[in-house]
Amino acid sequence: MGLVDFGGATRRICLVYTPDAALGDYVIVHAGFAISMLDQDAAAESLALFEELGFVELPTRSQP
Amino acid sequence: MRFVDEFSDPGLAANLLRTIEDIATQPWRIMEVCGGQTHTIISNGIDQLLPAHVTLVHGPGCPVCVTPLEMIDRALAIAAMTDVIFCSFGDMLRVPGTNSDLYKVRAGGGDVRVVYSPLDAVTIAEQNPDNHVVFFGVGFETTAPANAMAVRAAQQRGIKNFSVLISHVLVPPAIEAIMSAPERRVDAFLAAGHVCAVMGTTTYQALADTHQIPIVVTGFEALDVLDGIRRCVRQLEGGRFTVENAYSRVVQSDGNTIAQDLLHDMFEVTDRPWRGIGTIPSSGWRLREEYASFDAERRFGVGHITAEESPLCRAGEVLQGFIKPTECEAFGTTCTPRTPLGAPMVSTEGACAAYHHRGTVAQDAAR
Repeated sequence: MGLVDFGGATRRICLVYTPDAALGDYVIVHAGFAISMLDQDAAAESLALFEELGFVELPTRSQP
Repeated sequence: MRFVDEFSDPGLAANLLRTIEDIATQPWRIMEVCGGQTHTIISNGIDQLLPAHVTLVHGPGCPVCVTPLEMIDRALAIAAMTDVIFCSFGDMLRVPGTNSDLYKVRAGGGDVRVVYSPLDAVTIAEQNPDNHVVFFGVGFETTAPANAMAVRAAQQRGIKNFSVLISHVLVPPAIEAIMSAPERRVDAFLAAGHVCAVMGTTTYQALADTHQIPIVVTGFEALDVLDGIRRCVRQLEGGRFTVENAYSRVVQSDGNTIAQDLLHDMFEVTDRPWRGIGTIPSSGWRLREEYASFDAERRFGVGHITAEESPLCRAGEVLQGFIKPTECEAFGTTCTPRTPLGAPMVSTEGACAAYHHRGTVAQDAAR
């Protein structure tokens, strides 16, 4: 079991399915169990991709 | 960084929307399987921001909604028994059974308790050795690891007055059923991210191949859903159909193997009726014979209870994406969140409740 902070509220959560979870890690919790650890690098990559989409030159399409 | 607010950023949402507008040249219908995603879509108005020819269809992934009526009736029968402490997630309490619901059973003297986790129910069993404690184990692959571990914990701690009423359902057979239906009207799927966090993504490739549909594993924040839609449209426009992972910060392709090992040890696949939809072959899990003493259905002999659904409720058509909630005659009239006819009007993940809430918010704003 480990203490998980849900943006202010804390709860004891079963970590049996995420044995590698260490202090400071983010986990996805379902029904009192952590089911996955959050990959912070992958999160940053996704956000960077969404940023980049804003710089893509769009071909001008003729309006229907 | 909390990995929540960042994924609702309006500026980045605009980038994604602009990209979708640019690449979508044809009409497409995309089904989000999970009720959590339905909630994100409706509360953020994503369906109204998309180009008119990209339509979102809401799927059956609301666990409260698809729990079969007969299972609710079995829960009610057990909860009303003397000496039983019946534990459940809170949103099951208002779901209407044939003649009653768990709140009414409680009002009538039944000991019905809301718990946060099935492990809480195990603790209640330990503290009340003279009572029998039953946990209502509903839900998809996401909730199953919790229920399986509760049974394992009770077994290891020698707690004999604990059992679970299991009514698990599985996503891939539901996608298969929707794609095989003659009314098939879905071009691509947003797969439920947290189900895939447990089960992995490889099982979905066969579905994508067989039915030639894009399946994009998608998260639950606004940007996640928009990126899922963008990837679906990109595949559809390019004539491709494969499984993509748009939720890589949480989902690994092989899922959570520790959880899968316990699930396979404890559960076996069974046919399962889905409320409003009917029986889908091999679409659920039940406890294996070795765990019969933890199976409330066998322990209390309620397996014979069957039920007929009300013809007034069109939840089945809503859950399969055939109609929008607002197309149902009962929507907002005889069926409201206070007086629900069907489960999708009860759960926060239910499509009917989401539409009803948005309508109420819009009316308040208009005033």
